[in-house]
Amino acid sequence: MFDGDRLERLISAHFDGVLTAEERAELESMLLSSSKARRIFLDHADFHGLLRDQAMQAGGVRWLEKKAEPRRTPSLFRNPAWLAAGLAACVAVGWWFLPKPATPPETARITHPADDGVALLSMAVDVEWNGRSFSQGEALPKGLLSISKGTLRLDFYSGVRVVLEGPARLELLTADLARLDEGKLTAKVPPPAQGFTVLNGNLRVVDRGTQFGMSVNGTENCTVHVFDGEVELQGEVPEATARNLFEGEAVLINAGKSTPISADRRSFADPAGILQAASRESDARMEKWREQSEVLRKASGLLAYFDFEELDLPTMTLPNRASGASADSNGSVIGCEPLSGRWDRKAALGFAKTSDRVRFRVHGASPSLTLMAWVRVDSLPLDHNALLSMAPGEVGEVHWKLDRSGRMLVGLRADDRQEYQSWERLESPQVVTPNDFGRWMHLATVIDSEHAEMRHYVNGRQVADGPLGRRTPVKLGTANLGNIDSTWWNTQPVRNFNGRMDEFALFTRALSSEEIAAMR
Amino acid sequence: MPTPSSIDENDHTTKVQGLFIQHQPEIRGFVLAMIPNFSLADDVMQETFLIVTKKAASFEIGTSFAAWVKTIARYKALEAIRARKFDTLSEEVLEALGSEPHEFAGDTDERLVLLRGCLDQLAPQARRSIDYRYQNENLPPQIASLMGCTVQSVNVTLSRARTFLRECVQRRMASNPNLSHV
Repeated sequence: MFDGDRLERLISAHFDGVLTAEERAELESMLLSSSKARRIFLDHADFHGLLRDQAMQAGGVRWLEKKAEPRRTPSLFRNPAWLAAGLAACVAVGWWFLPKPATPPETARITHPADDGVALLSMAVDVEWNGRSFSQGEALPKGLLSISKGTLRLDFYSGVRVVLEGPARLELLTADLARLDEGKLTAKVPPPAQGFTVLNGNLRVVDRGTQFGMSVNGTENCTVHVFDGEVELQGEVPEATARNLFEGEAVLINAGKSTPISADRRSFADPAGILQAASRESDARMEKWREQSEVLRKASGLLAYFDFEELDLPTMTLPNRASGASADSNGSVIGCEPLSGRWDRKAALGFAKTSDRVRFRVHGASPSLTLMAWVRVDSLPLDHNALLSMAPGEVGEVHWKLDRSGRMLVGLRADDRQEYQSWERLESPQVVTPNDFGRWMHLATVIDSEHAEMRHYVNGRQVADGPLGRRTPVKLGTANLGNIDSTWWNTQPVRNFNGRMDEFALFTRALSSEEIAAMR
Repeated sequence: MPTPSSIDENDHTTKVQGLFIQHQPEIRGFVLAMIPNFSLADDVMQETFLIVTKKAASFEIGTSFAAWVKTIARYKALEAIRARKFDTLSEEVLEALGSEPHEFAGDTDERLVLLRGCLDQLAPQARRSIDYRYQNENLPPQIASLMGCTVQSVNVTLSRARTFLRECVQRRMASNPNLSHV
């Protein structure tokens, strides 16, 4: 016999992808030894499918609008017209045009809940993260920020600017509420954000405008300094403590007792100093990157290498930095906005409009191929979000892209029929989630003819591999970064990339996993 | 001119496709049980539907559609599992699950309607977890960070919410036998 409650918990964990190896073995032995356990599993599976189907049908409705009646939108197979179109697409049009059942337009799901973020990480200097890490420019969701060193600047959506000095633990609760468990923060509160509150234990520090500092050291020791304006203490405040602190005043609360002290601005980070440190860090990263970039230029098999630096504005030409590359392989920038890259001084191009692309041409054919790019995905609004497409319409054409659900895909055309089977392809699991929007990532894909396989890498780590059935040579030709040539196919759906790119390389050989890990 | 037999064949194919459509949630559930990833499961669903269409002639109306379609779905799911090498139940277990006699319920549409009513009865926290999981396709670690609680508590919330919903739907089915006429 088996423990029914335990079985239910294990089934649930399996459906949610959080089963450990031991738990999986336990669940498997329950299922193998009992027909009753299998029936319970299948009943749960039926219900899991029902829940998912209901969510897909209700997908047009934002979950925040609780009162709204779920629209009874036709899901994929309930709509005969769609069904016919889907079938036609499958047999006649080929993989790249295959509609994704998960996201027919009428049930497009919300991938980025609007209430997710509470602050923007506007600066991160010299930071070591504990647990989940974030990068500059990224939206910070509710939850814990923990750093063992360094300085963060957070721009809360309420308008409050907070500087947090590590080691620190700050839990973001809302756009005007946070809990400081450890570390130092200074907050600058503009009038519309008055009432911004920081918790520590049962103490509430409420800003009445405009600037204060707070430091928490261990569980029992907390100081509050008012640099400008007024702060009100609420909650568990030791007796005989002034509830309102004004400019120049400060209080030390230790083990249930309080001591008035004078405010000390110098014991907190100086804003100018942070900017200088940020600029020094940017310089250091730039220097280090230049050295690596010089080495990369000479790498064997490198055919195209764009570092996005020194874009020639009059001609909008991006030089191909691969050593020995001819000028006719330079990139032509169409649209695209010059923006900053992985750090302040690094140059990047932003892709947003349907026209945006970098077009270049390489010649010949190659049995193997490696593509590498540093990208910042800002959103995945389309079924196909192109990273690169090359030699469209020809046998050996290559498409490299992200799909709407954040999977990385590569396809190599192996014959000239417009069919699903005409492609050698590899799809990764989901590698870009909405939480990754705004974050820089290193993406690489290898078509390895020698080992007859294809591989995807994210941040230097392999995330997928699969067989290369037909070793069709890759056709080198006209290529587009962040887009696809639409002249080739009239029914071409829009598939431009939304985000930034600050480095791209194309090799006519299969790089090893070690080589890719080293680029990261 | 289509011959009479080709008309029969089309008609039969449409009927089989109709069964697939009718039982879509259960088939999806079966696929999700093998592949706990919504996007991948959707791909397998689509491929299964193509095979169902292609092989419709080999299905005899009146025999178990569940058994027939599950064989195809299992085959397609195993292909996907082998190609991507992710962790899921062993093939032996999947085999055992696939051959367990288990018919699809015939009242999917009613259950969907009842489910909506039951979802509205969930506590706000549980409702948010379920929406994050099924609508936004988040996994427990992501839900935990979105809601500011631990992964463990998300696991418990999801498991309890599902149990509540399943029992709620069953209770309402039992107390309203005429629902299909509403």
